[in-house]
Amino acid sequence: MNINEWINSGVIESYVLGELNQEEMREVEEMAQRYPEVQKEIEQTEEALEGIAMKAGLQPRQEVKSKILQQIERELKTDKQGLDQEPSPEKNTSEIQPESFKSMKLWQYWSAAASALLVLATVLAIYYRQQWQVTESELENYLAENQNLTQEYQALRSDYDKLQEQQNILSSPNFTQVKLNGTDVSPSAYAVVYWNAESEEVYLHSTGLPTPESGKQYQLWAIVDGQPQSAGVFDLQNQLVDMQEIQNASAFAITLEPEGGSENPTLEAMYVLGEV
Amino acid sequence: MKQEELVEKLRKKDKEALSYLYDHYADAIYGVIQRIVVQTDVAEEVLQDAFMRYWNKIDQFDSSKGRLFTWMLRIARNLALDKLRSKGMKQHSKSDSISDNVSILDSKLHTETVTDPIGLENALKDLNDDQRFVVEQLYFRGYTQSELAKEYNIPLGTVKTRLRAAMVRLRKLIVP
Repeated sequence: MNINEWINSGVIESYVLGELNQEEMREVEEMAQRYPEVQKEIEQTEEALEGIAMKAGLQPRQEVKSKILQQIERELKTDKQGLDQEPSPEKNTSEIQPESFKSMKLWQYWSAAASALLVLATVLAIYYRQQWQVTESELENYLAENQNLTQEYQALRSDYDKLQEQQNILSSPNFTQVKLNGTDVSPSAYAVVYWNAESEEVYLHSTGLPTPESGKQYQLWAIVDGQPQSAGVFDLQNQLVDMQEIQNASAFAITLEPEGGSENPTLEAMYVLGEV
Repeated sequence: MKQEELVEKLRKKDKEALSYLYDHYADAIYGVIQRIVVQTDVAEEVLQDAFMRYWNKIDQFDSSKGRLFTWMLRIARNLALDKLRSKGMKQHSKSDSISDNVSILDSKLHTETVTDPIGLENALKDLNDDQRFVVEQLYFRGYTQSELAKEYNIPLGTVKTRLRAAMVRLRKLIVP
């Protein structure tokens, strides 16, 4: 290949445009040193390209120049600070920092930040632990209180239910009220039986009876067809007691019997008696 | 300011020198970048990038090896091409003629050409179709020679010689 062929191969244009690798560029530069005509070709091509670029120039917006100058200003400042930073043209935002910060090394930032964070975390941990303990004991109190209230409520609720039930009995037209008056054994004693002839339910109000001696229990009897029939033993209660069902009662009586009751009433110990 | 003086001042980190460099060459460099990446905001970003590089890498410029502008052009062109590749942008369609391209750029991007683009257009009209095609693609579309050869199925040697012929022609018109 003679020198003219080489020149005409287009390698000079590639060289000027920057499309050659390091080795190829060195080759062209060596040729330029050796052959003045190559040097001349390169110069003319450069001139031509510059001429084309100048002719084909386009105007960027005004702010681009000021952005560049601002960035240079920043880099000059940081250079004076002795920070060797690679410029990053993508970052156009300037960070204004106090001078003392700039002199600190990066690890100092981190360790300072980490220490501050640790102290804060510790303080918060202690504070919240105390808060938690207080809260826990409070919670225990509330739970206990809640349990008491629940029990109380349940007791009241069942009382209420019973009262409601009794209210229904007392106000029901199907129940007959039978007053049992005291006998000679205990003249001041009294009791009240509520009897529903249809459903045969029997309820007893027994607070008017004297407290029985130990080992003894009151027993309710109904007189059915002239015969005493047990309606069950009972303890004194401040409410209506549900007794055994009775059919066709003509009268009711209460005797004091040995605990557990008897098959037949002990008439000497009849405390109250009342006819339907 | 002579090139030697300008380079000397730039090496001394003289801001005024960079300001001078910008005032004289920004439009030419921007024209090259703009035609490669097309988008105004991207082109301005690349321009800023290029000038920062001139500022920081002026020590790498060897005046014995050529013109300052050639060095600047290579840097700007490579930055623009890198940007084009990194953004996955494609060179715009090959159907535009250079005259369309120039006028589209001027109208669409609201940039004012400092110099007369018609002069360039006329200069390119002086070339034959093959020569004009390679100049347009290589110079105004951000193709490298090997990309152009691959894309259009032209032997790389042919691309180079056509460019060579076109440049010889243009030199006569542009360099008095």
